[in-house]
Amino acid sequence: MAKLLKMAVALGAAMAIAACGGVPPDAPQAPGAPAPAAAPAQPISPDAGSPPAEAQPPLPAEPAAPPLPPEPPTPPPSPTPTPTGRQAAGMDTTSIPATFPVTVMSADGREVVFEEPPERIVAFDSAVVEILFAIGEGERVAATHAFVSYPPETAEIPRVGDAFNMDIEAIVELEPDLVYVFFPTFLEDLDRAGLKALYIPSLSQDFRKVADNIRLWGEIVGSPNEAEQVARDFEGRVEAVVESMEPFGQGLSVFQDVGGFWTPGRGTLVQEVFDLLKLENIAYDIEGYAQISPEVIVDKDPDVIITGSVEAIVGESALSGVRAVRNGAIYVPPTDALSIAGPRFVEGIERLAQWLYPGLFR
Amino acid sequence: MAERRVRSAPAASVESGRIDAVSARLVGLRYPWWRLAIGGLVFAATAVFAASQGSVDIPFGSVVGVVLSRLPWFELPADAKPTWNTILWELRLPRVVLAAIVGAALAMSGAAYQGLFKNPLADPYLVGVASGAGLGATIVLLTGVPLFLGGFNLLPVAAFAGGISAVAVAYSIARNSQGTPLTTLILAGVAISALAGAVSSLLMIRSDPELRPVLSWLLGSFISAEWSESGVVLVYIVPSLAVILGFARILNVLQLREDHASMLGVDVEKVKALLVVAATLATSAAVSFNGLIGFVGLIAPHTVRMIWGVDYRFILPMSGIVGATFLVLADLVARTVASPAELPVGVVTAFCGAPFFLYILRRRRAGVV
Repeated sequence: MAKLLKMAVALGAAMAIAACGGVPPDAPQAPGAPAPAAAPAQPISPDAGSPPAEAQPPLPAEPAAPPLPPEPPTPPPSPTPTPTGRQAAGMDTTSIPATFPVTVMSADGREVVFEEPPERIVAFDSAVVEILFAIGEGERVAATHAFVSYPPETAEIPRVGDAFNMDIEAIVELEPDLVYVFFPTFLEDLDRAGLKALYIPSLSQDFRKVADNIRLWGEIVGSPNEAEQVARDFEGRVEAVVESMEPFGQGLSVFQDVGGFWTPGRGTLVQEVFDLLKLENIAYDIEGYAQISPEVIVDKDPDVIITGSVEAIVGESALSGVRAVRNGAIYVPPTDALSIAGPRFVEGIERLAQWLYPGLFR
Repeated sequence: MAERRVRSAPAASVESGRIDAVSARLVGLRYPWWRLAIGGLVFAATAVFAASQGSVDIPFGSVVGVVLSRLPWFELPADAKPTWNTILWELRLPRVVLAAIVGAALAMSGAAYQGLFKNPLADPYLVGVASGAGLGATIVLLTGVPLFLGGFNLLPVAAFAGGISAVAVAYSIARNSQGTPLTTLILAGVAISALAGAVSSLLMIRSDPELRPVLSWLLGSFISAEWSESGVVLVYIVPSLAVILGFARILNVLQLREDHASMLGVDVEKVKALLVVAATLATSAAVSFNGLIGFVGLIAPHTVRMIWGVDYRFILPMSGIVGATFLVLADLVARTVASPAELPVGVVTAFCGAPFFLYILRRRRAGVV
């Protein structure tokens, strides 16, 4: 029971961290510039790295697409094609030299100095593992924790702990030259074992900072050019979504169920995605993650529901009258991209955007 | 004084009238029906109040109107939103009813366990029911076992299987040729609780970090209450509570030494087995859908006993009323105090229950009660 209590406290603390420093609540209110010219054949969209065509919204029945935001019925005007996304990254490949030593501030106040790129990294975080693979440095990952599953190559990587434990002995045995952690619990133990540890908390607000993290790891492992390319791709694709959404005002209302009516409120990365896609979160009054009262779901009558299990929503008889359920507008994210603040986060945004506004995003 | 009277009673009298007589001499003859009636009225008022409050504001008049509209000669009030119908009939009322059933079941099981074990700390979770049910639920929530099987929620089934298995193991370990010594049964239950709790913890730290649903279940919540759940739970709870109530007189007699009860013709072993099974069944059913709601089974019977005395014929039903009222109120707090978010009801029962219980203890020490 004590263990359970500890976990409850840890969870509470995690939620508190996620909750503090909430995103400013200014609702993106863009009445929309009038469409001056005829709509282009295709709205601007990231031309590179867009998800595969078979990414269909996994609806239970005929995908009755939710209505588009009401404001301008025509697709947004295409400004002069601005170089975004990979185009940009491809065009100005001004090579950045890898410079050492690199000094990184650890969140516990220590300066971590790298005289040369670390060869064997214990990366105790899904997002950082993804970043290292995305910039072509996945071979440096010597070990990780039990819940890392992307990219598929990680299946071969040794596991040295789970969400609550680190096997320090096993880590010492691997002789890593860097241990990265996203929570501080084991810093002292790592220090006592003579290991070089870097602690940076995982992102809980401003998902655009993923790009900065990508650049940071590029510097650490001595691949700044590759990192710059991945970071710009990330920024460009986010920007493309922002531009596509710009003419629209606040649109559909949304409820996201992460299990047992737990839902993200304001001050979460998910809320930022909702803001970006002009979705109105019915749980906006909640700070961080909490269990929402089902009465509120019925009362707010969301247009769209995002969930991991269609059955859990459809099986709830009280929700049968809710608009999203009646219209079959229930979205099951095809990947865990939106729950990991790594390079794929933007892919999660794009897929949700494609499902929400099929006319607007390819 | 009571002891002396029983000792003078002739041994091996099998007639039930004698049990009645001893029971009556122990606790007095008058049965305070009016107290039960007042308790019932207080409970009814609480339930109506709880149904009128929630995270969505609905005027009291509309609540009454919407609820009555299901009767043939009433119309839905003109000012009522259609969603109010859903909120009241599909969400709030099933919740109030289920909380009342679960509260009554936990409190009456608690009273039965305390009487049976003659142990003031006994509650429905004592013989391993809670940890066993918790383990069953954890297995379903965290391992590959599917949560739904053809649209049928497996969670309560697994919790129930876990709770019953834990008690069965404790009972079979404690049982010897002479009978089932209660101390051994309690110790076996405590050991099995520890084991099942450890396995649950192990599963949790070894599996996905998505622990929120498990935590919700372990802390208890009525958030997904449905009418059908009340129906399923009643199938187990009504017979169990009927058995417990039927043994009220014998529980009075059992407060003496067991050999004295035997002299009165009570088959103590059979009574113990029946009561343990009945109370366990009621508890497992009560926790299966809503998780481990603590404290109700402990404080409701003690409060009744401290205020109104020792007669189990009164303690059992009154505990049921007090438990139901308390849990309906606790759930009301859980769903409104942080609106639109919810708290686990188990947290509320402990937060409100513990200070109230300490207050009662204090008053009793001071001789006020």
